Amino acid sequence: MNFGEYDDFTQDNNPFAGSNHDFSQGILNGQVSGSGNTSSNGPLSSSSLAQSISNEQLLTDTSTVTGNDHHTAPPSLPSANISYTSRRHSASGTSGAFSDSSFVIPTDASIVGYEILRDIKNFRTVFYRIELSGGNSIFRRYSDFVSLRSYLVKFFQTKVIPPVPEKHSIGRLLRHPFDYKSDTQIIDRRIRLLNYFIGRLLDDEQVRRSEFLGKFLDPREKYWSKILKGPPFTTLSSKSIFLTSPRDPTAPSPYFAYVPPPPRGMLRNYTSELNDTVFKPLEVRARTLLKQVRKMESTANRLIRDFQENREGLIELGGFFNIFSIIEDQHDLIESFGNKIDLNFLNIEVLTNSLTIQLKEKLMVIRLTLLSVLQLLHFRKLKELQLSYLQDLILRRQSRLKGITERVLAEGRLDQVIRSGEVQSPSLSRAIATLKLRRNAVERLDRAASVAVNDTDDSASFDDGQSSMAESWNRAISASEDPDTTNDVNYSSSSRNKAIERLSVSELQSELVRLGRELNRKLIPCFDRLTDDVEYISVNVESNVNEEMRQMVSTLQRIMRDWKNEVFGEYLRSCTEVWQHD
Amino acid sequence: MSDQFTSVQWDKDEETTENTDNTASSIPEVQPENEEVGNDNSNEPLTHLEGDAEDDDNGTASEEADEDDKTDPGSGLITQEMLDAQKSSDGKEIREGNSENSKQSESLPQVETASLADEEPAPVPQPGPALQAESEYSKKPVELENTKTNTDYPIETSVEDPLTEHDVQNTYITYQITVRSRAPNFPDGAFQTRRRYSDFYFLYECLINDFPTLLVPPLPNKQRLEYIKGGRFSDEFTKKRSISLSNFLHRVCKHPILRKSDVLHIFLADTDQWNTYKANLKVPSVGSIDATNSASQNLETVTEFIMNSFKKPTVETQNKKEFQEIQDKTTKLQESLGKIDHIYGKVLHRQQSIADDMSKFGEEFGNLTLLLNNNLEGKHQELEDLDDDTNKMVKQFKNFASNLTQISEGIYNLDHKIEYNYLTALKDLEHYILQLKNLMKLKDAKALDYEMLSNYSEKTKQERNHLINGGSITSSAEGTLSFLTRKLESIAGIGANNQSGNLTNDRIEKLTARIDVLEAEKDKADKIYHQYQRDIVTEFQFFNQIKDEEISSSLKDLANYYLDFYSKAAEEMKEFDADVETKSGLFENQLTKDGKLFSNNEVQKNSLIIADNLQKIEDMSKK
Repeated sequence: MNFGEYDDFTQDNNPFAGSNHDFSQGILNGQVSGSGNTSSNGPLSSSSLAQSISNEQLLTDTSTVTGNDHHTAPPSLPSANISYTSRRHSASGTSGAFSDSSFVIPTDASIVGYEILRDIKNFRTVFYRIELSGGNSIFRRYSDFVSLRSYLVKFFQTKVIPPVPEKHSIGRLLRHPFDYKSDTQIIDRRIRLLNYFIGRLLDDEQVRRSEFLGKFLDPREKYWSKILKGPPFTTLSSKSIFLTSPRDPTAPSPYFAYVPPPPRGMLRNYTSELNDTVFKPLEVRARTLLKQVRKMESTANRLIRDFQENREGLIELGGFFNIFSIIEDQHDLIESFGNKIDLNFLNIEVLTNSLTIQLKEKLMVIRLTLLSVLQLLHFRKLKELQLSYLQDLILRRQSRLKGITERVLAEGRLDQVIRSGEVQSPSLSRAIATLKLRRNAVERLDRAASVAVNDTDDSASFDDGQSSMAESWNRAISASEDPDTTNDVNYSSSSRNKAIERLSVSELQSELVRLGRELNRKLIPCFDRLTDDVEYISVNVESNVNEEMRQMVSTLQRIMRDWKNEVFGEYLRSCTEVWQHD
Repeated sequence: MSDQFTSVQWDKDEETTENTDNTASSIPEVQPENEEVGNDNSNEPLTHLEGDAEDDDNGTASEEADEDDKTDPGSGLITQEMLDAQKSSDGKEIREGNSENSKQSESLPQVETASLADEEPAPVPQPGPALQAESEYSKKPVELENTKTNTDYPIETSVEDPLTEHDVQNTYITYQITVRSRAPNFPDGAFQTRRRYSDFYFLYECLINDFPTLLVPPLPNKQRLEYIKGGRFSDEFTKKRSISLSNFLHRVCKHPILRKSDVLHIFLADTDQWNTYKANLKVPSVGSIDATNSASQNLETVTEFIMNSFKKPTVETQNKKEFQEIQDKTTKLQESLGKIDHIYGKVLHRQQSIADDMSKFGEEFGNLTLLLNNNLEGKHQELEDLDDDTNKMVKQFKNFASNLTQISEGIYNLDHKIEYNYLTALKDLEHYILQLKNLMKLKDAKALDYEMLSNYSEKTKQERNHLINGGSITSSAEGTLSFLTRKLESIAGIGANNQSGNLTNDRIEKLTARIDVLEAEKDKADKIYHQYQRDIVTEFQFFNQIKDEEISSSLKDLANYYLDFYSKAAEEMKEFDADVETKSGLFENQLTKDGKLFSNNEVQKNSLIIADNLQKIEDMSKK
């Protein structure tokens, strides 16, 4: 893996749309297949790989190698010829990109209202009407948005996906058990916040062109829950986010069969230079802002509530002045004062409304976005932890393998000494003689052990002869080094946990083959991929988080600007007019 | 005015004692009203009863000498002030809980002995002094209109700037009065004097005494303000009081009769003369606040009187429609003001919370600069250490924060102004209404006096006829004659038990004389009653004018407070520069896309070693 691939990725605005970006090929070749390397190759090679490893049970996690039938399916035809709804998602294909030519991806979509309709289970539910730039409109319910977001979070692993409004609080549900769903205030707020959500998604070219958003905004798809039963949604939902590739989570990724999920228990004490220098400060900043924004949100809520109650008071006051003007002789003066009070409370009504939309809800969005940011940072940290955990695993195996090779080498040197025979030194000769005796004893033991344990051993037979011994080593080495070899052999698993000094020659050989294969075929390519992934995630997360933080600061500035020009400034101006007018 | 008491007592003495007991219980609250704790309390009712009366007599007599001489040189019988003094001392006694009888026996001798010695005025006991006093009252307004000691010039006054001062013993507060008037006895242009609360109180008492049938504006008193925290010397208390005193003076100066009074002019312009009067005249000592007539009663005592007055109309002749109207209007106005006061209280409370929220919000916005001037190690950076763009942003947040604080302060000031000026004005107006209602009740009491007298006169006539027709004295006590007659007789020392049958002729003679007096008094009472009626109608007009003016000016002020707040806040808002760009390089990325993050790769090193070893093994096995 090199970083050139990141460049490819980032320079191209839409890396998935071309249908060529086959991630799985990278596993074997260590490079991105050229654009000429068409999609038909991808699935074949990956499926063969999948087969080759399917009967391996190296790591405990086997559940990840699922959907073999899916991967072995014939490569899909050019997608343009297949109708959108019936088209099967293929690994080679779109990687989540939306490429159905019969439907134009909307550039703009906004929720314009709601209707209470029956859902797929015939329950009455609030459906939001989304009007699309093409003139069509669709209905989606709140939970559809939540669900869409959860898929986007899984698919665009390094992006800060804009937040959807929170669910109703339980308290609210208890207070208004019957009308909570049709409360227009809540619905209006949801419409505004969902519009923000959709708007931000459409602003992001990659997200906009993804199949997820495409299907969400497809007027032909009536029920979101039905869409979810097909790919790419099924592919995504079946996998843990830690066992998918951040570049294309829907692509088959057999190497994840060997990746351990991050041990969350170790997260607390996990530190690394990268985390401490780059991401910890980001997290601290996000947390600081979150704390502050929470306070501001509650102050804003209180401010709005106090203004509303003040408004009630002024309504009462204005009303009473109007009565008072009838009782009293100075009708005009008191009445005009009462009217001013009335106008003032109407202004407060406008004010509380704009405070809600331009202050409270913006703060709410900032808070929810910060939660997403923190989630993203958490995910990245877990990903780094995952890598470090895998590295530990590999290092343990490597050290064993190293130990084995060193022992074999030592044995070999001993053999050479024994075979070279005569040395012009009686003391050395005596030492060689002792060695010979001991070696014979060991070999006898070895043979007995291998006969007893490996009755059905059809591997290279261990003849007494030295020549066949050398041959067997060569075979073992080539077996351990060549990842493509198909003549797999079963080795005894009993030797796995034995100390290296106590292994017999045949056990040594079988361990060598086993460890070599595990490392070379699985763990090390996997490690390389994961390293690459974590680097990719880190770089992108940092940049996306910083971008989002900048956005938030500019939203805060926007709040101040709105406060001056619209929200409170407008209130002050119109109230000045009210009290000036005489 | 103790006339109220008198008439009530005539009616039913048991209840009155109870009532007065109630009043007595409220005295301790009134008492500390007196600002000098040590000084003026010397006129404790108990000890200085008679002395007070005499002192007052002298003092006020000298003050009022001119007027009396001019208008009624012959009628120097009993001066207005003396009677008042007596009445107020009566009042005091009642509060002390003395029984009616003992009170009368104590207080009577002064007048009684004198009049009995003459044998001329028949010994009609208790009503006597009161009625005589009232006969004086009836002349009063006429007198004043004739005297014209001060030509009618508009006077503008304002009271402000409370100042705590000290003398040897006391700490007290003085208020600055600014006067503007073209009246010839005032200096040209505006001039200032300082007066303390007790001066105002003295002025008030003088006005009440001088113009009993007029509506003298009420003074603010402590009870009304005592819910205020911080006590008598707190800023809040003294400021509110200065506003109320200003309202009081303003009303006096708006009143076409009161503003011409000498007392007012001396109060406003001549400190030396004023102090002389005040020092030597202790009539209206603060301790003698009369529950019926001063502004000092709280609402509870008012309702008490309303209760009492409800009992009267059965006796009373029909009120004119006008009075009913006045009654209705004032009651309605009172209710309205109470309601506005109540709602405004809530509104202000809420505005206070808004002000708090604003300042808190400002503070929180200010804290956001942490994001900008904290570097990645969490170190706080000073403004000088930041680059220009970041600096601008930090300043934007800070300016916004201080703008919110300004708004918060603005709301706080608005609240403050409304509470101090408008709500105080409302309460003062409510008070003014109470004063008017009390005057109405006084009028009712006069009507009651008249009715009682005519009733009594009838009974006396009946008794005389009875005696003339040969009835016995003892049998004369008919049920209807009631305790009232007997009481009066016993007071006068002519109780039936002292009498023997052969005194019948004497008795008839006395009764005839009494009937004459009673008839005369009846006529007087009738006059007084009508004087009250006339005055109240005109006073109500004055009241209406002043009230209308106050309502309109207070609403205009209020509208201005709102305008001030909104326009000022809008101006301040304009100054806040909201158009600061987000610095493009904010939150720079540290990682670059082509940098290796995990360069020291142990796995690779190990792989090489292993490969090397395997190669060696292969080489070895080939050999």
